[in-house]
Amino acid sequence: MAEKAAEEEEDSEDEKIVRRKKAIFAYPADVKNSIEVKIEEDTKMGSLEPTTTIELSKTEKNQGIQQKPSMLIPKNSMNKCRIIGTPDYMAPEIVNGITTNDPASDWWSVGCLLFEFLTGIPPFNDDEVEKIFDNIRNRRIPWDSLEIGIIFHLFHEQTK
Amino acid sequence: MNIQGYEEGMMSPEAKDLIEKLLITDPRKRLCASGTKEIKQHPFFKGD
Repeated sequence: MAEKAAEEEEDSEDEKIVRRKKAIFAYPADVKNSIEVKIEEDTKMGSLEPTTTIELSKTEKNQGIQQKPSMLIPKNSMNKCRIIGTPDYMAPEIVNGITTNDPASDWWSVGCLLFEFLTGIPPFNDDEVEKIFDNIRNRRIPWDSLEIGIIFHLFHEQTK
Repeated sequence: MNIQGYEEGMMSPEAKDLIEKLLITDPRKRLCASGTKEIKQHPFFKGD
């Protein structure tokens, strides 16, 4: 009897793990599919950067729009006020002004998003926009950061 | 606490690999370079 109870306990624990894993995969997979569809449709949008999927935080707006307007507004934009990227998710080729409309840049952004989904922080985040750009240019991904894993810890605590 | 495939302070190798490949500085060498199929087939999205 006790054995059976333990077995049931184990099953439900497995189910919990499956649910958690599904939740972890669902959002990145959604983003991946949406961007893939957009690219395949050859949309006329200039950019598919995370501004289209993620709302700017107040801090990012302040940093992005007020400090670096020229970096964020495309030269040939149809809508002059449209922002094509937040510093955190910009690919190095965009930061360096090489291109503004390469789908590859969007995949870089997806990489940034995945990192953020799994850790809670964007990979190149810093106090100032220039520092973020510097982190991007030098590809400083904080794999050893102690913050990695916090999100899993919180997630685990909440679903207990 | 243990979530299958994860340990506290660690990311699954599949997730890390996918991120590493999407965050390749040269866009021509990035995972997307030979089409989206490559990304679709990455082990991260085969999560069970």
